[in-house]
Amino acid sequence: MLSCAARWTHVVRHYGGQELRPSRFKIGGLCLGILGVLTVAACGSGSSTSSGGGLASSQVLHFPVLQDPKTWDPGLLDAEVDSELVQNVYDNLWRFDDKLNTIPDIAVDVPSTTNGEISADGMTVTVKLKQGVKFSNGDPVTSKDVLYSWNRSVALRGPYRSNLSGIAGFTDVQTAGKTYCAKGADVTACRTQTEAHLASGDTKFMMKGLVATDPYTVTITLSSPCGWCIAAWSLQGSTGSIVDEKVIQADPVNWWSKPGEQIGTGAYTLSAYTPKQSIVFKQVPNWWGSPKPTLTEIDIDIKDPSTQTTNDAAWEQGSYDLIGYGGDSTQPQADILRYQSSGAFKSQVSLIPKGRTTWLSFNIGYPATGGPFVGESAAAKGLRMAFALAVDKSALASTVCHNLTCQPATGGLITKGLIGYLGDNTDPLAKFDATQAKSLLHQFDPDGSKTANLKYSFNTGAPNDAVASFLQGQWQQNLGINVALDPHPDASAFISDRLVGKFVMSRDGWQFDYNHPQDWFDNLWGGLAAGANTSGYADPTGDPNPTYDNTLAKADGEPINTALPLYNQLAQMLITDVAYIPLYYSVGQFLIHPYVKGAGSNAQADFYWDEISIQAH
Amino acid sequence: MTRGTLIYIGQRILLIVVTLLVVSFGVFAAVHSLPGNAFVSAHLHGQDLKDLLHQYGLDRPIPVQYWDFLKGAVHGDLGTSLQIQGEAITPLVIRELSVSMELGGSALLITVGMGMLFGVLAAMRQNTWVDYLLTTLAVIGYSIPSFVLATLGLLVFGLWLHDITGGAFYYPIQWTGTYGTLAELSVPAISLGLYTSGQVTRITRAAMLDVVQQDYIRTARAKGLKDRVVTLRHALRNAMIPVTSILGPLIVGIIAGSVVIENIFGIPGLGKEFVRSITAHDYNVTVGVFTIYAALIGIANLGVDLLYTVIDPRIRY
Amino acid sequence: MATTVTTPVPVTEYAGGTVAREQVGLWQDGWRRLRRNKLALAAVVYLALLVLVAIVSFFWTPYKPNFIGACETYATPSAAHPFGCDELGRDSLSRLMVGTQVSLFEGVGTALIVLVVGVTVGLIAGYFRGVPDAIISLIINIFYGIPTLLVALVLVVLLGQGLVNIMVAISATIWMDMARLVRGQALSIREREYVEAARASGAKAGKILFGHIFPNALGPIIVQATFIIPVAILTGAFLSFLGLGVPPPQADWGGMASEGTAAIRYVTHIVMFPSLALSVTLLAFNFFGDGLRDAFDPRQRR
Repeated sequence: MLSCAARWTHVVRHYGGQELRPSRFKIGGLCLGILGVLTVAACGSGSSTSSGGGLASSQVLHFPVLQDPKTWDPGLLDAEVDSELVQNVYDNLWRFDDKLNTIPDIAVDVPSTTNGEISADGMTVTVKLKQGVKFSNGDPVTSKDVLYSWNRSVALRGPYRSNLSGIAGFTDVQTAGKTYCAKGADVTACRTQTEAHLASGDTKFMMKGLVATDPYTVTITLSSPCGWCIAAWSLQGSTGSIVDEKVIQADPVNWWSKPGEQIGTGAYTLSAYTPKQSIVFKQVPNWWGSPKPTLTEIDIDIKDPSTQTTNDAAWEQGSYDLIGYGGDSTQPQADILRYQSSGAFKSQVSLIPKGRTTWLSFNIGYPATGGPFVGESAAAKGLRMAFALAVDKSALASTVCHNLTCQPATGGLITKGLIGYLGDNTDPLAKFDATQAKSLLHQFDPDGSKTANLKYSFNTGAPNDAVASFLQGQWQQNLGINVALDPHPDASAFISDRLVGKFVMSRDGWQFDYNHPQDWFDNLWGGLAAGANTSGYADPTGDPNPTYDNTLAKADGEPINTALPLYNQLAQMLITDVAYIPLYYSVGQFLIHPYVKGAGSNAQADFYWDEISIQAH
Repeated sequence: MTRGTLIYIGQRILLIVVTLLVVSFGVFAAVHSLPGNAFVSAHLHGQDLKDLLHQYGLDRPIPVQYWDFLKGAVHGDLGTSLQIQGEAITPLVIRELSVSMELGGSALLITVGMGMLFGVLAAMRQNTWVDYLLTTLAVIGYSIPSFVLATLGLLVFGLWLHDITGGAFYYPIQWTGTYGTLAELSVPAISLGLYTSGQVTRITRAAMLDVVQQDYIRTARAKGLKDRVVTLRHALRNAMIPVTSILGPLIVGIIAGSVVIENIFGIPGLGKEFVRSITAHDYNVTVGVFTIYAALIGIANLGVDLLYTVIDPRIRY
Repeated sequence: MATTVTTPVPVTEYAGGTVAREQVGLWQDGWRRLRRNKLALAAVVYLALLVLVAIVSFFWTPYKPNFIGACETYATPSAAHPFGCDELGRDSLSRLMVGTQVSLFEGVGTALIVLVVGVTVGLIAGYFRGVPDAIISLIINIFYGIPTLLVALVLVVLLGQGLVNIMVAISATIWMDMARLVRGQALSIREREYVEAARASGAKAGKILFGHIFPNALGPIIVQATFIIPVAILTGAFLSFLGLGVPPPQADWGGMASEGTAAIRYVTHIVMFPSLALSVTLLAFNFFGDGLRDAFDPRQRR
């Protein structure tokens, strides 16, 4: 390096010494730059923990997420990255354990008819709260906090307020919130005024079915028996979470983004947040719950999707302890393949199914949009079946996902591992039978006129592009039909259009919110899903005996044991009517170093931070 | 500074202001007319979505919204982000601007520094292998897309060297803080600057030859060191003029290239922000970033033109 | 990003200064000089091959370029697949061939658009001067103040991703150089005697513009147009690297390079071949443009 500087100096000096000093500095600067880079090379990367068995001296967890928080206000939250983080900050009355069963959190136990906390007619739920539950600022939690949190969620009209729709008085509060905020005042005024109404005890903003009978008891009156309500109220980081009225009323708009104001009952709380850069959460001292947390601090780097490859590389070099938390559970395939083929990292890759299914929806119920699949005639159903049987779902999973990031959806649309899954290889629409497909095609569209000019619509981005190409190839190969691709680069515009039935064949999918089939059947098909029903699959208009809607209403009111057979009936209806082509269940990939103990994920969410500890390494 | 110069500067500033107005309105209208928005999701659509958009004032006519935006922007307030609810845009953008300027400035230094250096050398050693090598390198330099160079740089310095030396060589593959350290900055800046340095090399070489050629022949035999020095100085100064003339387009090129480089290296700058804000429908951020870039270019061009007067005393406005 | 720079400084080819030569026509002399430039000739050969590949790929490629499952995903180069396969098991050679179409279309198509727009605007501004010139110059100066890639980005997002839209978007960022060049040429050529004579004899403006001014400016215009092609191809590659190029599954070099970048630590061939293709093609166009400029631009002659 020094000879580098010397040689250039010599060359330059040959053409006249001092006057050329500026050039020499340029050369020198360049050498210095290279020197600098290589000097840094002399220092290796470091990790500073003690060696020997047991816990590491530094209990700080470090990982990246791929976007900034949209909001950490549980009443308004809907992004996965946000809920995965704040599930450690706020608690609900109940929560899901690692196996997705509902267990008590702030409540003493889970209400049921057996322990009498659900009345015999199913209309009243009595919840007893634990005593000694505290917010992270020391405020004690009592029943009035439950009322405040839930009424607020409905009044703010956030995307997940329907989780609370089973409670009597829900629609009135929803309307009160709308009448107020929709006046075109700006967002700040809207939020501030809502808090003012809640603080003053305005009865229009209080659900009449929600009553605090004593400081540690809440009596909930439902508008009708509801088998899914407790599961919905348990959704972490959402409308059922308990928040501190005192803190929010002091700063209604930005309380959730400020350390010291982001108050919940969880084991961790916000310590610092620099937008587009980093988030730090710190352990709450003397936390009331259990297990008692070991990690003292969570350091999160805010990156973005284009940096996934470098994030993985940083993880390999030890800068990150794990990757996959915070909604970042789809890694670049090449990296996963590389880890699987090498020795060192193979055991550190965890493949965990995420409760998400992707399928293809036909236009069945929107005559205006057109296409050969509209309605329930034999021809329409036959053609739908033809297209469904012409797709080899196993080949899709192995080619596009290498069987690593997805698996074929063979047991119905509810993802494997969730309640309502029909069982492996039980969905006839998941079969691959090119011969049968072709014969159906010849039977119902002999001259090919109906299936000309078809398009498959989807939003771009991996793996959707690849799936689309694959599907196109399958129909070309197995049916001889050329389906054009209709990519939509803007996901939000695509979703808006798809939900109102603008496409003849479109990519469709759902990620579950809580472990209950109601989450699927209410939101995706039938009368209740109007305005968000991609395929338009529903009972015919004016039908005096709407089978789908009636069965669904009955199932929603029953406890899960009696409800499940009814939901399965609905699933069979969809199958018999060939309402979809099942494609795949998503699989998440987590990269976790072996010294991070207790980290992992289930189909819904990452394991909590208070279960994690860092071993010496 | 003469009266003429002041008038000239005044005209140029007027041009910049007009450009900013046109540009900001154009981009504002363009992004607002795109389908989709920042809020829609599987759980938020239909009437709920319309109500929400109404709360944010996003269903008003575009000129009305633009007027609101302009009123705030003139005071330095670019509004709040739609993506990160409630977060003020201006401090965010200012921070990212300084990051991008750190990267762009380094790239510019490398461009001009290395470019002129190679150009001088090539001219000195005209028609020797040095000359052919450097000139060919220059052409290759601006033929290889910067993202190719960047990926190569990342691969070599960030990954391969680290793997080969078993961790003894450590190159930070992504920025950890707001501002880059020298180590974090070097490979991105070189990838960004190498591309444009090729052009500077060729121009410097040509300009120097123009002068050196003639004088070289005259002084070839006799005079010795001192005259060569004088020749060189004269030649170098002559070379500054065409280099300065393309400085404007060079800066525009560096800004454009930085968008991709920032994406590859994970640098939290304006380029990355811009791409992200378009897809996320964070309108004010897009317009803000665009306008800032346009202002930068305008000021840079003005600065370059004023630089002319310093370098070439014959030029006056 | 390259911008075309026609500098006023000539490049000498040999030590010795000006040499008196016989008076020959611009074109014959130009051709002769071009033929002597070996690099430019090599570039022409390469480009001709490229065009051939593009034409052939319309009718035939070793495998169907969008056929998923032609081979193992990420397969490295082999006898059956000389350039290997990409992450979906599509043959890379076939995709590279088809990608040639996109690059050439983007390059030449953009150059044509810029030619039409830039020449027209420049002629009007330079010939008529006065108010039209003031307006046009203002517009040109405004466009110069706008960051190029960002404009292209916004336009592509606005217009939608498609080959023609991309060409329009790229043209919007580089038409100014051509307009300014033509304007300058028009301004100077209009002062020449034969033009004044034509004006005096009552010839219509259109005839003067396209009969006298345009042909005399043709040399620099052609050189400029030749340099636009690599800039357009490069901008197109940037756009598709960022995901805003031609929509999938159409193969194009920038998009292929982008996909290969994500896989780069697993296999290098996916990013290497399109990057190489892009670089060599751009190099060829640059050498060719240099050769053309040295040969034809009268201001360069010494």
